[in-house]
Amino acid sequence: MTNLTAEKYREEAIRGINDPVLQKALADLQMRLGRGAEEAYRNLPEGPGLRRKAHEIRMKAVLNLDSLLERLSEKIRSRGGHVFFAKDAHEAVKYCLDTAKRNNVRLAVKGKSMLSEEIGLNDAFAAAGIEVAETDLGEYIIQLAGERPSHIIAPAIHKTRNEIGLLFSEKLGIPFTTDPGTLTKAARKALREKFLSAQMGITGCNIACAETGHITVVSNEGNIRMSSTLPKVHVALMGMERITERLSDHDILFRLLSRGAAAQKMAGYVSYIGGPRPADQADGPDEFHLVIIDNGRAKILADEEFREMLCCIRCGACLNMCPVYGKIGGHAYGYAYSGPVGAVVTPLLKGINRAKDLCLGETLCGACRDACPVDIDLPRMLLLLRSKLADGDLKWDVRRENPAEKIMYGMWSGIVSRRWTYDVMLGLSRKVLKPFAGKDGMISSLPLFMKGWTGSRDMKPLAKESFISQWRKRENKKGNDER
Amino acid sequence: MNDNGQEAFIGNIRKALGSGGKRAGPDLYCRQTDGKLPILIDGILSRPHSERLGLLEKMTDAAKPVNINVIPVKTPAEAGDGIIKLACEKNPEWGDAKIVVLWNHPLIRETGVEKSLSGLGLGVVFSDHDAGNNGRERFIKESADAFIGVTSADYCVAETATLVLKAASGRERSVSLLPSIHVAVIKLEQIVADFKELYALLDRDLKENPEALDGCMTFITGPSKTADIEATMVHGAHGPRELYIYVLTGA
Repeated sequence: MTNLTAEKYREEAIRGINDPVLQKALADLQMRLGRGAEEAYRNLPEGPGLRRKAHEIRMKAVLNLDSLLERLSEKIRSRGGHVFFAKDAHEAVKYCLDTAKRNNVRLAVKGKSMLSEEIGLNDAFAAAGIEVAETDLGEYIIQLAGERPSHIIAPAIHKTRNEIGLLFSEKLGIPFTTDPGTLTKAARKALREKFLSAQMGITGCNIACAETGHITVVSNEGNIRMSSTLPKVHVALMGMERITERLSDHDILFRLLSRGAAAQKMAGYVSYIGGPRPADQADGPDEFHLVIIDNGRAKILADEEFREMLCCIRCGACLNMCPVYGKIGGHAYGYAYSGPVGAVVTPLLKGINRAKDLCLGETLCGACRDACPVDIDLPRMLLLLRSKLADGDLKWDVRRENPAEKIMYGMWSGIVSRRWTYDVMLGLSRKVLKPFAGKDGMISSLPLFMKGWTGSRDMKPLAKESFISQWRKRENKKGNDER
Repeated sequence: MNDNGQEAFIGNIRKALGSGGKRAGPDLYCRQTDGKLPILIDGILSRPHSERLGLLEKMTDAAKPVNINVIPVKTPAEAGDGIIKLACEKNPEWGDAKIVVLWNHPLIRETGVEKSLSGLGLGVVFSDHDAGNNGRERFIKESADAFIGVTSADYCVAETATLVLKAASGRERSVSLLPSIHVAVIKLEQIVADFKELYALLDRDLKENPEALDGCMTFITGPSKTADIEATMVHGAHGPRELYIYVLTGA
């Protein structure tokens, strides 16, 4: 299973902020895709309100997930496809490995699938001596470099063309170049050989259709079409919530997905796949396996307040708009899913306490909500996670993150709700803080638990006299003068 | 019974949804628009020629930014001439041999390219063959060796210049995927305005024949592309680098 490194959020975030290359790449990305998506929503014939309609479509699917999945699997099995229901990552990986071993697979080509990152598929295959080649250009670069993706749809956004040029000349033996066209061509050539010789293709699933019994896969490069057409065995991994009821739902969903993910009117390739190749067709896989994965999703489904998160179609639009992601980059989030979606999903899947910094780090500005093609209220859920961290929660097994904080706030509310206690506190604070003021009159460092207030900025000392008291004096004086 | 984990899995979901029994919404898979569907379909089918030409114009505009070449022609033979010209001018990307792979489709047969290409000494492969196990490997190899793939399409969406291809025997997927250049030949009547119309037609197809969508169906909008290196757009990531659509407008 992919290691969660969300505990290193602060460290990684600081590293990201101090990386000038990343800062430029992120700014460009957000300018291009974030703004682009906003404009693309505005230009919809139905207007941005269409996102609400998409939300309703997604929610209906989530609320009828049991029967939709039954119908999907029945249809796919009727065409000779295999469907496996995996409770967790372990079961899913084992099924994929068993399928690979049964088919004597030595090389598998994989289309971009964040779910495969989530369940740690690559490591398991490598341990079994089976090569898994990432085929999305960004993922391929990341795999050659031995790194992890930093964006859901632009995994190599943190790498420069210079770095990629060096990497390719070392690993692919081509002359050094920084030209993206030449570099892409080198990858195209190397991967074409793999597509044509792999025994297994692995893909994700964007939005399955229950009515007709298809999975759908979306890409711009064509790598997912290759992976699902050429090898003899095709394994598709699907998060259990990634399904919709009717075929015509895809009209709205794909138009919004394309706009949210890449500011496109329609993605380059969308394929519907419902099973192995029929006997009279010369290409397509002989075996088709659909692995439907829970891995913590049923728990989200069971909580009516977080259920909405299952509407997510993992397009990455919220990353392209989030001011926090735009500064710290994807690695800080420490898991397959970064940005605002990661800040909600990762704590829910991996433990709210363990991934607490993710939801504490977001600003609640609401940009992600405006960016979401299916109108998910991410800020609401970020806030909800915070309240669970503050109060503790039995159902989610959350322990109170900072009991002292709770006590402090209790005292604070006692103080500020009475005028006289507040005045007493102000008076005391004035005295206590006075010695800390520097030459410029600013307080630039406080000791102990108050350190956080001055860690990254100077604080002004309290005014000698409160506004209310100054006002009263002024009014009194005016009154006296007039008299 | 081994149900591949289904019963326990679905049971878990039902529990999470907070209901004991089967609680499929009674309205699942029913369409509110079912009544309107025939009207919408009629509108598409009986669209006057002049309006269809308007859609072609719309499609041509949508095609430009995504690097698709839309070429209106009057007859299949004209489309055939265009394909021959491409085959002569362009060079193969992966080898020396100039091989063209084609769908075994009436419209493609009508273009007459087969004869002219053979006459010029170019290799021609049709996707009709025995589709047994050896046939599969052979066909994929032949498609990979080809530098131009010629297909038709089932529909084309004007709004985005999207081709819709249903795979079938003789209409294999590799033809639009493995060669460096993809050429599609379609009729003007196959163009629909937008995705709403497309899905209405797909719904109709499904109603007329429940197996209409059993095979693989692919939407293609432009040649293969990537922007994964410093967000610079490059065409020809893995699929075709160029895409040409010949639209037959009738004599």
